[in-house]
Amino acid sequence: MPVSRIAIAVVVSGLAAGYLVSGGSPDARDVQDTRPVGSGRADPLYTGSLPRGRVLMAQAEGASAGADAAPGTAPAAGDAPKPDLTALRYFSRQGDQRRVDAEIARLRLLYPGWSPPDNLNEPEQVGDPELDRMWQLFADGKYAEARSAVAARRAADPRWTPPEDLTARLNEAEGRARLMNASDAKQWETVLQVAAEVPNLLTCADPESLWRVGEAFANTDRADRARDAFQYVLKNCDDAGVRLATVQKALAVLDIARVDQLLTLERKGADGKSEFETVRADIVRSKIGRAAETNQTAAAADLSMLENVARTGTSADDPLVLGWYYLRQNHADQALTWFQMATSREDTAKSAEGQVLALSALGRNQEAEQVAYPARTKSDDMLKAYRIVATALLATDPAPRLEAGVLARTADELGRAREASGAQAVGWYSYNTNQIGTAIQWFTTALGWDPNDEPSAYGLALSYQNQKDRAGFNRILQQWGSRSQRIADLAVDPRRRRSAAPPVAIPAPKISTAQIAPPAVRDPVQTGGISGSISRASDAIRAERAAAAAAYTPSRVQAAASVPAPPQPIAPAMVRETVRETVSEPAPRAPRAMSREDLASSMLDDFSEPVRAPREVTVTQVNQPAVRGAKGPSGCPLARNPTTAANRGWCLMELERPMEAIAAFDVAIQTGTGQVKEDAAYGKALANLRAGLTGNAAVAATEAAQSPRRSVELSVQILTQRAIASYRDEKYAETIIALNERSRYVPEQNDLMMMRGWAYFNLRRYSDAQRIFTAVSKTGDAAGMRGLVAIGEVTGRIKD
Amino acid sequence: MIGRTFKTCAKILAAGVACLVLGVSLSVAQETKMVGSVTDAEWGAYKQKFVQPNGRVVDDGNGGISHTESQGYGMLLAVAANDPAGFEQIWTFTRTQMLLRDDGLAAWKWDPNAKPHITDINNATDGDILIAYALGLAGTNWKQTGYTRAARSLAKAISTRTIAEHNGMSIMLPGASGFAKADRADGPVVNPSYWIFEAFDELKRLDPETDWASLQAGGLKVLDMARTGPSGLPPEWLSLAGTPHPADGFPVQFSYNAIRIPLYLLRAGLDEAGRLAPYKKAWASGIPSVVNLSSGAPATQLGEPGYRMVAASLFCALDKAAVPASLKQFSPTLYYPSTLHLLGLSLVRQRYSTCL
Repeated sequence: MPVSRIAIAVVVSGLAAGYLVSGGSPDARDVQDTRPVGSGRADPLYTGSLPRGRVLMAQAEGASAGADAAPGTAPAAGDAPKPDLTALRYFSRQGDQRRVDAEIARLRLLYPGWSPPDNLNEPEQVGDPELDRMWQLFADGKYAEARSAVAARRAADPRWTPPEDLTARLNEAEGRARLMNASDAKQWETVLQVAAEVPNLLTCADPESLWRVGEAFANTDRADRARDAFQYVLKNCDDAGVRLATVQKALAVLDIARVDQLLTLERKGADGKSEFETVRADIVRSKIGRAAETNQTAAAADLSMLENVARTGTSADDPLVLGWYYLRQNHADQALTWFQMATSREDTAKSAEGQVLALSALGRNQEAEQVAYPARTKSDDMLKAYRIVATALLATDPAPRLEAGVLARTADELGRAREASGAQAVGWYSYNTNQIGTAIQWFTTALGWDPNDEPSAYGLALSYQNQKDRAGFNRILQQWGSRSQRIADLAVDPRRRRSAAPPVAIPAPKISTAQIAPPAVRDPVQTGGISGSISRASDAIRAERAAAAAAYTPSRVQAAASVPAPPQPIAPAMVRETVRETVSEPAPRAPRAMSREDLASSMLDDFSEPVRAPREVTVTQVNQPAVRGAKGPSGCPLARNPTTAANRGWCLMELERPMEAIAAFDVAIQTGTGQVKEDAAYGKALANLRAGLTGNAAVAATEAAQSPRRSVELSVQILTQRAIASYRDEKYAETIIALNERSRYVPEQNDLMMMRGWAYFNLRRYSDAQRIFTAVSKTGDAAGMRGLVAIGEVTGRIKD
Repeated sequence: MIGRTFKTCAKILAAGVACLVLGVSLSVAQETKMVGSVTDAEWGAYKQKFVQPNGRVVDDGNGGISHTESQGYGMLLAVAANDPAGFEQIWTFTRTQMLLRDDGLAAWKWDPNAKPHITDINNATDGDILIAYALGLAGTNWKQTGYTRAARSLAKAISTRTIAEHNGMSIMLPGASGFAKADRADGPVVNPSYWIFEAFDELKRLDPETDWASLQAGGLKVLDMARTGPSGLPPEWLSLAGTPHPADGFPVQFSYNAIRIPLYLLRAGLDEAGRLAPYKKAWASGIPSVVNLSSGAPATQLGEPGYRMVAASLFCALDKAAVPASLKQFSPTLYYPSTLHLLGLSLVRQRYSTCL
């Protein structure tokens, strides 16, 4: 701020003379000629005295130029150069009063205290018609011809030099043309270079140049300098139209905070009205648009104003802005309404995309698919959105009831995409609807497109088992057994494997396999490691096709309800978790070993926003030994021996007094042995976790040997908390590290995957984030979609 | 032979030793000889037809657009005609309308029917070279340091942005984007006619830090590698990926671009007969043609005087053949052949005046 105030002071006090003195060297055609003699600053571009615009430009380098330069620009009063009156006299003799007035105004600005002579129309001592012609060419905007005339005369008369004023004015006029052309061509560095070379352009007389300079600064990541350019106009220029336009220009390129700084310079008219009232809606629209981009909450007053404007207006833009805002704010229902309004006014790719994302966020994937399908050809983004929605739709659990046509077209489009994830989704859908042969085809296809797609290999293994195709199963086992524990586990005890569909044939109506048959794997190279199995599997596929054709029932896939539901969700990203659970707890719906951890993570905030920290996590339910015996003041048993100490600890835990519980467990650890000691160390670790003392928890966990199960459980707990705490502290790299360690013990469920995704997002590792969000969204979880939206917006902005 | 001599000479030059003793003309002597090699009448007619008052040189055979090539040729011919006023006029347009790129190169094309007039920000390296070369000559000839400064910064930008190394060879990318190895499957792609050999001495004087001699040697090597099909003529665009071959997506033709190659060689004094032999053979009738390089068969005949002047210059240089009387008279046709016509006349007047 001080810098710019000084800058303005320099300008208004008219200390610009230094420029004119140095600016008019005889050979001033070259832009470099306009540089004043250097005054020792390092950057040659911005050396020396800095009149008006030059001060603005000087700040471009972020140097504290203003304060140093300002005194340097003031020539001692006596050496103030005299203005060159050639142009003034010429225009006066021509009777061109408009130009005379403009020239007088210009000279007054440059030479404060100067006033025009009253003998302007008197002939000068000697006429110079050739020079008059040059001025005329200049006045007509024929700069190349004026230059040419100067060059011709100089060639004819080597002693002749053009008047400094003519050279300076030509430099300015051409500089302006070059600045505009460079700006039109988005050559921002050239814009700024020209502005530095011809600083006299940057005055209220030429707001357009100032705006272009502001735009160039903004586009080269110099937002403060950009603001200064617009601020210069609002502080110094009085034209109401120019001032209004300046705010609009600034809105297009500046962030809201800086626009707000500019708005403090708003003036009140004689009628008491604020001068920017008429662009208030633009300002608000822009603010809400930016709030959506940066995922910040917009002011209620702004929202209600724009909503009013949107409702009463006819444009699709306002509802679109509101739609994106509400979508980012996780109000998908409101977003949907606005997107629908936008679509009804103008059906564009963007409005369709908004609707699709909102519907998908609401879990209404079928509707989303219906909107997306006809719109998928409207833009590449829309096509991507369609594929994501189609994948999510098929991966929804329980498998939705789909029209045959819908199923056929989603499968067709996902097949066209040639991405393993899409083929995998169709595979799971087929599997979930008991079309095992078709599932085999799709999983095989997915592996053809990505030979490392483990979930597809797993799906294939399950399918072969289901089909009792031992040869097929063994092939998968052979290829994947060493790489995938869950596939290896399938071989250990078939009873443990998840039976997605009971082997008993329940006559499930089928869609013809032909309808959702995968495209052939065209590129044999892509099949990679499983090429052998493809050819051998083809027999099974043929058999399945025949069977399917025999069982063909048109029109509908049976709703998931009438197909015996698999015990677990089958969405690919969840499969690992499910299997682990099934393996360790074969009994139906046994209490899950990870209950505490699940509880903790269920309390994680929905990671639908990149910046919001999860709420405090507390561990509430603990698998604890029964509490019994004498009770202390807290109502918990007093610690008379190691066992009662431990019981007291558990009791205090229940009372949410973890610090006291830690002390009680300590007693039990120090005095107890064996199981008691182990339990107490476990309790102490949990108490530390609940108290948020993750580090201590890790130490406590080592105070007594823990059973492998508890050891894993504690590690998972600790790492979970560490990840959460790191995320809360915005230490995203550490978040990832903790999550990576944690994933060595247990698979990551969706909420933690979202945390991982947002951590990548915050680290600007957008492709990693995208991978995670895509995986989550494919489980049918709308949070993933919101993450993808956020990435799209950020990367879209970068590309712009 | 000459190429090798030239390279040695350039090395000596780099060491600061004058090179005239080796018999290769590199010096101001040649430049001043160029000045005046186009007559006032010829240049006046050219300006009248192709140069607008605002300094724009119009390619009337190409929808009335301008490009850095037309502007550069205009500036070079203004030097040859010793017309500082015309030069200033054309340079003013070039600078304000086209010399806009952040990297200091010029946007190659200016379209009167588009707004903004620059529709493609890419450069064309031969246009930049022509402009820098003409500016350098003009700065010396008319003692205008401003021209020299502009020439120097353009030369440095050309060096930084368009010279690449390929298989140990120095090559010139036809544009800052779109032609490099990373840009195209068959990249790098070069245009053999973009080597304006006569400019390299001047560029070296302007920007001694760049190895322009190696770029020249690379250009000569490209010409040798570019011989295609039975005719041995070069294609317009050559891929240097693997064995050099005509670049994908362009007709496999010897055509309007490549026709200037003999002219450029001769103007630089590179008159080795072997290198010029395919052109001489193809133009035996005195009238150049577009040639289908696969078959070696001539297609469209290029009968305008300007194209015939290129052939006449070649026969003059190799066989001392007199330039036909009809070609000694310049009257403008279309921009491109007219330009070649004046460059040919300028060449013969400078180096082979006995042919006139």
